[in-house]
Amino acid sequence: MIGSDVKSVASFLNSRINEYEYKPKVCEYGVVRSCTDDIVQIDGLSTISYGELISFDGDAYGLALEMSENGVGAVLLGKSSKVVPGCIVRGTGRVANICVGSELLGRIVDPIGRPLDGLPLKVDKYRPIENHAPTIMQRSPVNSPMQTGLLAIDSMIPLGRGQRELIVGDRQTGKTAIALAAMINQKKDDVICVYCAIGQKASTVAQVVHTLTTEGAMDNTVIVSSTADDCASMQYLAPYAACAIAEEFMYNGKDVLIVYDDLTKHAIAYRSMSLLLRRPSGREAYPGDVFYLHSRLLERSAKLSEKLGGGSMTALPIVETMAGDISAYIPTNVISITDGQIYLESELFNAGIRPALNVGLSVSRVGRSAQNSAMKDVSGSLRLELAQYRDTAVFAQFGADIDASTAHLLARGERLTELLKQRQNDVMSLSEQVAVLLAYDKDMFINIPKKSVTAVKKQMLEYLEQNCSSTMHAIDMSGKLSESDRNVINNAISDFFARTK
Amino acid sequence: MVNENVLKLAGEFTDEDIERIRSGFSKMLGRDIRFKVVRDESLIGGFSAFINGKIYDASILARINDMQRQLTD
Repeated sequence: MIGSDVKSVASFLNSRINEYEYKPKVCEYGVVRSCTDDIVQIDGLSTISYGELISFDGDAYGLALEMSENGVGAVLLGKSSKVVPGCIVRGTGRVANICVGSELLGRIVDPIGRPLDGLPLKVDKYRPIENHAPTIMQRSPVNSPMQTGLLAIDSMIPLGRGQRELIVGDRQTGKTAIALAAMINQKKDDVICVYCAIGQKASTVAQVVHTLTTEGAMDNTVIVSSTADDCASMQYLAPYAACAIAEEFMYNGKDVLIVYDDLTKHAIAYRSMSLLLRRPSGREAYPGDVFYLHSRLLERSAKLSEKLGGGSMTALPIVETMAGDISAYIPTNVISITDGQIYLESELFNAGIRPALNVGLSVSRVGRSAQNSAMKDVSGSLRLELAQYRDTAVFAQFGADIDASTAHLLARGERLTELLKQRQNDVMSLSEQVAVLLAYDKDMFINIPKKSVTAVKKQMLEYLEQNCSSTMHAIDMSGKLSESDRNVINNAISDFFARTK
Repeated sequence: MVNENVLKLAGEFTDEDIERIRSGFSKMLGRDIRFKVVRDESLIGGFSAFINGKIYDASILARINDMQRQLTD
């Protein structure tokens, strides 16, 4: 048995070797003049093009990023101690590519497509890492919802497929947690997720992989990882590579969610490359094209027209602020590129409001038109109510006499704040969200003590699942809340609260 | 260094062989080519010629590398 296997392998290898034919090649070459901090200066290679992949003696590769009369400036991809002055460099005649396709699902790869999970990867399709964004005529308006499973976001800052929504906030405010919840929530919607870690700690990436695996969301996820110990050029390439992987799915008519975690580190990697290439520096020492760096990446997200298969790529870029300063260079740049932002605050986070969403500063510029009609029906005045509550709560702190209507407003606001809290990785379906908002709208929680609102909410959802699961599923399927569905759920909610009294 | 023509050799080459390579390149490129001849055993066998910013590679090393690339893809 084993003998025949060995024979077939041997004959396969033999046939491959017999097929092999050597064609002598003539190619241009250059000579390494200097190599410092992964930046290589090269003499020669006069006809090379921008962004072309170059190969060094040995196994190292580089990316040509600067052409001048004095030669070529390139960055090394990966670490190599073999690149020394005098080394021969050849152009490869192609731009950097990345392997793409559904074989990548459930896998972890680095920005040049090498598997990082120790398993073999057999892929025969490649895409250039840098690619043009879809044109105006190739796009269609964002019109279908992208559920994140977080009540606060789906109700007040709804996302649509093909939208780019920035997640911005200080360190340790739950930015990655929001992106992860959104990814976990996609497993039932058949949306493919791509998670791109840029300059993250390897332990953080391992944690993300662990979470996705335990939540069963890893099977429709691709992870592109360049950790903090990778050289700047790899970190620079990572989001473009991840975007190319996502594009392949999008152009095949699939819906994709891509998370760039995070673009601050990406800008820092690009800054260090640019400074080492001696490019002139501008504000915060970033080079002049740092805006274009991110705009050309995020423009590649789109909702494609029906003619092109109607696929979409929704992007959730993450940007980290320092001490809540969203007017720093990179945050303002990315805010102006994206179709809205989710702003997280460390004060809210520390006060136990998680997701720590600042509703006033968070917006979604296109998502409202893509929202499910069921959610649209029940979430109309939520933002306004929450804003009123926050305003009034500030005054109420002074302990002044408050009239009955103000007290009611405060009580409602407190309950709403509690209802919007969600544990990490705990996602809610559309019907659950609608039910909670219906109950809130009918003031059902008003007599429940603030502390037990979360527990009662949980019990209520369990009760609904037991008693009217068919209606709940109908809402999840259709995204609509018909008058009869509304009555069924309202009655069930009334029953539940009558029992708990 | 890029502007210098170099002929790297490995294995047995007589002066006549080198002269044949030289005249072959001169004929192909339509002008008289002069080489600095260097022995480089890392090529394993054959030669590679560095002429005017281009490599003409006919070494065993290039073949092996190329073979490896094609067979492992």
